[in-house]
Amino acid sequence: MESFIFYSVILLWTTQFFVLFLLVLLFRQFGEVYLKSGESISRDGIPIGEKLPDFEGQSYKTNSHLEKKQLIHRTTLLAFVSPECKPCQELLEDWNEAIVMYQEQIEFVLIFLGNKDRAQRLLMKQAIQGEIVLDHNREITSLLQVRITPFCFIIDETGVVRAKGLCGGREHIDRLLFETNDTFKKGVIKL
Amino acid sequence: MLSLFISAIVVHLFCIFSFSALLKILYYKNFIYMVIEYDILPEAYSRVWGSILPFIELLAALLLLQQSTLKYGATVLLFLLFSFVYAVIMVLSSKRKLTCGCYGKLLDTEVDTFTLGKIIFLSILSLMVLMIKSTVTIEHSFYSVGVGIYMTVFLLITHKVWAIHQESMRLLRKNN
Repeated sequence: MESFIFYSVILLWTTQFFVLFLLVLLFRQFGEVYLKSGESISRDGIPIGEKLPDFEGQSYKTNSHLEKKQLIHRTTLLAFVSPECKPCQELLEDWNEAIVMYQEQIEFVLIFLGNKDRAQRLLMKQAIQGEIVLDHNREITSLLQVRITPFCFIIDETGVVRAKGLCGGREHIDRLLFETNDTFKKGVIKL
Repeated sequence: MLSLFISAIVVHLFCIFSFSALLKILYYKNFIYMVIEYDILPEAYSRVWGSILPFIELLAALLLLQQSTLKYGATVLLFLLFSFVYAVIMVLSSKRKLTCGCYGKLLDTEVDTFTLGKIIFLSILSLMVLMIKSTVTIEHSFYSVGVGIYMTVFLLITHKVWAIHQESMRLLRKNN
């Protein structure tokens, strides 16, 4: 009887470990489906139609303190980038081109996750136009509920989010702008 | 109590290694080719090692069955397992994608951290068998054989489930 009970315990532990293992795999797959899919990433960020909360940061170019009201006074493209992110580098390659295309109608603001040294390392490859704000401790990122970079918001002059999403290059910028209003396509910007 | 526990482990080790060895012998040429692909030894040596490894494995498994040869079997298994650990670490550090070849062609599993974990687990069991005192008598009974086979089946199922999971994750990441 004693040996039967002993072996039963071994069998139960083996089965238990197997079930725990299955649960871990299940959560891993769940995380991949729910948290990392394109659809789930589009749920990131302040919801469309809501006003952007107040935030502040340091200007990369002038080191001055910047607040939201100084940055957003007309339609603005707010882009979040981080140093280790390859798609962010691809966005930066198209950034100046997008500014040339839309600068008369849209303000371009880059929010960089990290300090000035890290920003310099990423931005030394090319001179980036537009305002660059440093988000040292990811405060702005958390406030605006951004989880993955590169991520963009289109903000109207009242500070309301009109479009948002992943933003890895010129085509994504164009898509976000077209989503906001069809008149972008015709070259006339009106929100 | 210890002898009951060790009996089950011995049966488990016998089952897993004899199963593995027989499958390697069944897909003999394929296994030798897999060993060459690991690229740890020069090709000629890999060919020799791949040729004799399944038989050494089978011999070690059979040695486990007798009390008098138990420790020899455990020693040979440990030697084999340490060589597997070395090979797996070399493959993982070189970031190559290789088929494990652990069970011939039956389970198409990759060399990954799970393989390494499994080998370490089997090494711990082999070490436990090696370190038991000679006064401990191994008594094989219906229960110990049943439990040993149960553990073997679950280990194989776990490895297969892991392989399927890895494939699913690859597809999900590709779609994302």
